[in-house]
Amino acid sequence: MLTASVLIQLTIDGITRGAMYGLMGAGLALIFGILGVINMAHGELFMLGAYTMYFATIVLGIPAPIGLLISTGVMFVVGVAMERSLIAPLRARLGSRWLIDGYVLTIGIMVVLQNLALIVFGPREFGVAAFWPGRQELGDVVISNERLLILAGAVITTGTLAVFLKKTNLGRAIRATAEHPAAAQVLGINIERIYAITFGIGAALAGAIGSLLLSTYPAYPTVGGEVLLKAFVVVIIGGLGSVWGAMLAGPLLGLIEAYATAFAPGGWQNTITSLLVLAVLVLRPQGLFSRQVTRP
Amino acid sequence: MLLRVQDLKAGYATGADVLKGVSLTVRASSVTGLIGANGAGKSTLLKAICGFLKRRGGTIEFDAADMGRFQPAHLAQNRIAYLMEGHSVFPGLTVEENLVLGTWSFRKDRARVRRAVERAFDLSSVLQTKRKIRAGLLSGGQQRILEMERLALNDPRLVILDEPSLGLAPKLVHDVFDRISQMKADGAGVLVVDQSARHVCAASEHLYVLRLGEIAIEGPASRFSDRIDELVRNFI
Repeated sequence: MLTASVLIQLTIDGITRGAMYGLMGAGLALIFGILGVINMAHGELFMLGAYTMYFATIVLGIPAPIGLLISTGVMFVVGVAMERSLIAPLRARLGSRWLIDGYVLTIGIMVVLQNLALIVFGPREFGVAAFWPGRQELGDVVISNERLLILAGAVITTGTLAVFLKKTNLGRAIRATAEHPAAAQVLGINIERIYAITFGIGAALAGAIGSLLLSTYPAYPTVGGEVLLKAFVVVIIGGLGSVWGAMLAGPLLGLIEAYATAFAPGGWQNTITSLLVLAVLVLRPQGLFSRQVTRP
Repeated sequence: MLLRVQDLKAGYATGADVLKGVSLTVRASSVTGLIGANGAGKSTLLKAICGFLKRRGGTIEFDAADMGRFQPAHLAQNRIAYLMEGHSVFPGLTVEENLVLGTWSFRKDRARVRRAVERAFDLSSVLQTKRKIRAGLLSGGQQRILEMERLALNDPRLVILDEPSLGLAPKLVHDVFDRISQMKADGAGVLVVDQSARHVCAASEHLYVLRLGEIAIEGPASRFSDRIDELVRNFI
């Protein structure tokens, strides 16, 4: 039955889910825009964040919001360490010819992390039913508290990232490094440090989303695969390397999925999003939301 | 002596030196011009000085200290400004953000950052009106003005300019060289490479002509001012 309340419900569902895709994509876009690496291990950062959240909240009994901060912080450190120990040496050795090597390197990291997780945690799923059980009813519209929590988390994370990139010195330096690394260096910006911090931020975003979505995607070794796929769809729709594009494309993808699940026959959901990706690649390969600025 | 380069050798491909032992000096409060044909090694020389290219021999001293292990990121903290080849604005950032990034080396001193940025806007009414516009939307000449004001923000002691007038309208070329004179008046030593030999000669105290990776001629610019055409014909 299509009623206004069903439509509202679907819209809230879609935007919530989509905001998460958007943030995953934003991390991927940020890392690609600055380091030039297509981070195939992004889903595994999500996975590690989910495990960290599980152990912080369920095993250690830390309240969920603090657990979220802890897992975000841990993943930032993991990201910085990964960049310094694995990615930076490869970049230093190969100079500008390292796009494919970086891609292969992160595939390697992906496989290693998946199998480490399998050894350490086993194939078992670690999840929670809900951090905040119960639901809110506004007339006919019913929203679970968990969904509200995820939506709030997504809004706060997106807002923090946007303000950070737009208003802070470090955020400006990150954007400058993406656009013209040599000019940034000349102004005194230590771009090696920017690379490490950027990878850390991407990892922290993935970890935060893995934590927020623990009730939807329990932590298990290969949970990252599906999430990575969504992140790639978002990045293609939004424009490769465009953080804002990804953050807008995420909710769009979420809405399409939510409506497709409700109105199209089963199984069409993924077909419709794939068709959208095809259409974007053919008709507007720079992405739906990318701004083009030309250099004279 | 602000900058002293001696017997500098550098190049890209192994075994082939583009610079075959170049020596030059730049004094404070003066403009030093460097001219030469395409492929003479002018940009290569500037890159090697600024640490974008590894030198293979010779010495580079800034303020009597060896710049041997100089990295590009050290330029700003030593108050060396470098206008690199081509365009170097950040196109997706606004004019104001571009200028603020020019203050990176003293970003902790917020009052000084604000003062420096406002002074740049006072100096250029064009930038003032485009303050919130993305730099990529400016014309080529306006971008060059932005680059010049951005590099002047931290009161550089040494200014290294690679083709500042390339592609500019004649009126703007004058503006650029006026700005160079202003930097000199502020006490900076300026090393300028440019294709408009006449302007370089008029603005400089000392002139070098680079040819096939070696200094072919040098001397006080006043000595060349009446025979600049001959110089261009013979060496450029």
